[in-house]
Amino acid sequence: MRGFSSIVAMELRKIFAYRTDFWVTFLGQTLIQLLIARSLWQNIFETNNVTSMQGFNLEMMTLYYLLVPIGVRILAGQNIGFLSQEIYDGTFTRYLIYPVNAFVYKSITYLTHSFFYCIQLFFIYLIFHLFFTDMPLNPQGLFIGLFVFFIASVCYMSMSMIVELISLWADYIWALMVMLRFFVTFFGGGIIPMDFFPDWAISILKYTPFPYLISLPVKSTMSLIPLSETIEGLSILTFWSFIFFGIVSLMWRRGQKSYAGVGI
Amino acid sequence: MIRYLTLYKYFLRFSFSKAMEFRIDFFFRFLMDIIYYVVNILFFQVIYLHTPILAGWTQDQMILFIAGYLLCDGLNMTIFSNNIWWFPQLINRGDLDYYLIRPVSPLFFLSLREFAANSLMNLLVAMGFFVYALFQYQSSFTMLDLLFYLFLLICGVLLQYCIQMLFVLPSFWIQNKRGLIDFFYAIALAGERPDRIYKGFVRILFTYIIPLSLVASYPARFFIEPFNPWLLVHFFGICAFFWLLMLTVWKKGVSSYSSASS
Amino acid sequence: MIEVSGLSKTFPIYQKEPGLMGSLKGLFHRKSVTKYALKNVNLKAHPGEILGLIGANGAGKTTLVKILSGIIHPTAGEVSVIGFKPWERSNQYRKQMSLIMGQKNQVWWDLPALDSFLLLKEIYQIDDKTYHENVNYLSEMLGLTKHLKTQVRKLSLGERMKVELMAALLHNPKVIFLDEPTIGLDITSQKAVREFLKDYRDKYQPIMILTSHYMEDIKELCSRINILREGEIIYDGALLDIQRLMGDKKVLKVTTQDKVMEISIKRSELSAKTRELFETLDVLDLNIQDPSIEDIIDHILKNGLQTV
Repeated sequence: MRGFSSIVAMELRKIFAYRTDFWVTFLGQTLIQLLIARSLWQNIFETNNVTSMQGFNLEMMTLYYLLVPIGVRILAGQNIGFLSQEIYDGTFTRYLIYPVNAFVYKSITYLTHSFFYCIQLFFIYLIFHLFFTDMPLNPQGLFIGLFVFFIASVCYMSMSMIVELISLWADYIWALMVMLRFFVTFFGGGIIPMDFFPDWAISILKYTPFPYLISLPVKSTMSLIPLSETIEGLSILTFWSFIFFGIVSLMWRRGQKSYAGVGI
Repeated sequence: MIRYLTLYKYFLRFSFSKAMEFRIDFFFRFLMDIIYYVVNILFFQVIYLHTPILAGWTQDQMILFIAGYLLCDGLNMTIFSNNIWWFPQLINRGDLDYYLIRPVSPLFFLSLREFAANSLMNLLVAMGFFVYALFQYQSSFTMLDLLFYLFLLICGVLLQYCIQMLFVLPSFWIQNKRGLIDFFYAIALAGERPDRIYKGFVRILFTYIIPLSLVASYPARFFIEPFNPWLLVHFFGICAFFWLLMLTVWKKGVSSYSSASS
Repeated sequence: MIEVSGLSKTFPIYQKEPGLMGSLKGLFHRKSVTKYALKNVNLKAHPGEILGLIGANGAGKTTLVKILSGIIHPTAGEVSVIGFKPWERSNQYRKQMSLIMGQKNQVWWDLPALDSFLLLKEIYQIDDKTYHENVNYLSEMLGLTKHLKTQVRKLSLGERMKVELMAALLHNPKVIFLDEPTIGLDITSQKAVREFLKDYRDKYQPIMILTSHYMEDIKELCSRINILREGEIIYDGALLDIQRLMGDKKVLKVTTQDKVMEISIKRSELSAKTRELFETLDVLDLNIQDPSIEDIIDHILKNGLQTV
């Protein structure tokens, strides 16, 4: 337990180390992306002379786009390359000699970042809620949402680990990670809410993990879906996570042999 | 001038001989940008399922705008983006030293030294899409209209270069691994939406303060909509201003690099 | 001709408190302290001469070289290098100057040296004839002829340093700054680089300033040295003269049955001390020597000149 908390403390220190980064990413990005999305939907609503579309009015739309960028960051946890960079330069071997499982260590640091962003989400949500909408705040939904986000980030982490481990065979996987992020944000409803997708697309996407990574936690936070649906989504997320972790351990067992030589 | 072209010829040669080496990575990067293109196109496709007109443009007009900004993006990625990305690290590690002692403009060297050979393939795809966009476009246009559109897009690319530089040049003063480049990538989205959706303060933000709307959206408006002289003045005024601003900040940065380090 | 007078350079140092709270404080304001990198430095260097700059890490050698090459601005003082103020960075100056930093590379790693040279030819606008002459002369002198078409990152450290030297000298610079050109090299490569530098000096008579941590470099190459300590030049003169500064010191090297000792004493104590040694020990051999240059320099760098 002490080991666990010291890993967390160390990661938090790293997160705080760059001061400009911290504030700029904390507020600026979110605000600007929100402004862009809000402007877009405002224009669409005005052009068509409606106050809501697919069950979203402008207030809800604003909240939705407020939650998405932070949600994406909760999912993405650590930077791209959290495994592959170290595999590439050989430092990954040092976890092999630590008296702690390399993947446990890496998962803790990853989820520390996710957790930190969860807290960030909480505060940003409160602040923006004050300024941008007069919708009632639902604390229950918010806490359920944070929980779903955290579980979703475990699932996304397992997906990232698969891609990151490809670097055991191919040197650079940076582009693959960016692709994964594109896929998840678009097909998970991060660029347009999934309610706007055509029905045939939704019926296909249901069978992929994407909708449960962004759309589900965001809508849970906004209390847009019943609790039963959230719980169903959570179990699907868990199911996918198990599959992905299975693949990770399979890859690691295979890849270890080809990796053993680097940096030792 | 000719000398700088010769130098650029060498940069090209170097980039291509380097590109021959890391093949898998280059393929991944190509694929990544293609997916970025697809996501962008799909985004507007989905929107047009729910509205016949967006920001005053019909779908065929919007596709022309998308093609325009993808072309800008392709040019920027191929020519500038890589170089700008490395910029903060060059400053922080003190690697700027060797560029300052050469009898060649360091800004030229740093901005153009790495030509992204892999993005060139994406640029070709973007060009293909641009041609498609022209064919599906339902109104008529003249060759002159087209040339003018392309010219404005090139100005837009240069404007984007200036804006992007202004996000990394602060690395001269703040100790940071990447400058504010992440912030730039986050707001670059603003340029990928038609400028007409922005109203009030947001409009001022994206047309004057961080004028990303001028990169592709204004050029598209000249092509699609009736000629508006005020828009043209605005466009070139901002372009010139940002060019000068970037140069000034660069000079300030170099002199601060020269006086604050040891 | 390089002339420097009253040169000073200060810069701010930012301090960060350790720990999470320190980082949080760092978000809002940082404390800075002004530090002197160079203090009232006066210096002269002439064509055909290699001036050695000696100093511990952080004594200001690199700062001085960076000012002379125009990379950084001084805080105060006059500098004239072949008639130019370096920090104005005029193209005429930059075309006649060259800087070699042992710890940084300037040639493209992924390319053969010859490609980088072609680019440099363009940058420095070297005409074809001079370029070919120089490439031939330099590659032969440095024994690089076979390696010019190999990717630089596949060369050994020594070969890479030679490539760096070659890249820096293609345009026949009149002023050459060498910042630790032999760092990390093995003895053979160090020797080769030194031999080359001597030959190059004799042939072209440039102004050269050399910093190095290896006394061997300085002894072999520099007729005159400047010693920097905490940003100040505390000695300017011939390397050999420095032994006179320690003139009243002698080193006794005593060999007995089971050990060898070195004892540093004042000249005036010489006869008393030797007598004492012969009386107390079974002396097999005794040598009376001047202190070595390495020891003197080491002493000066640690304690300054006054306490010698």
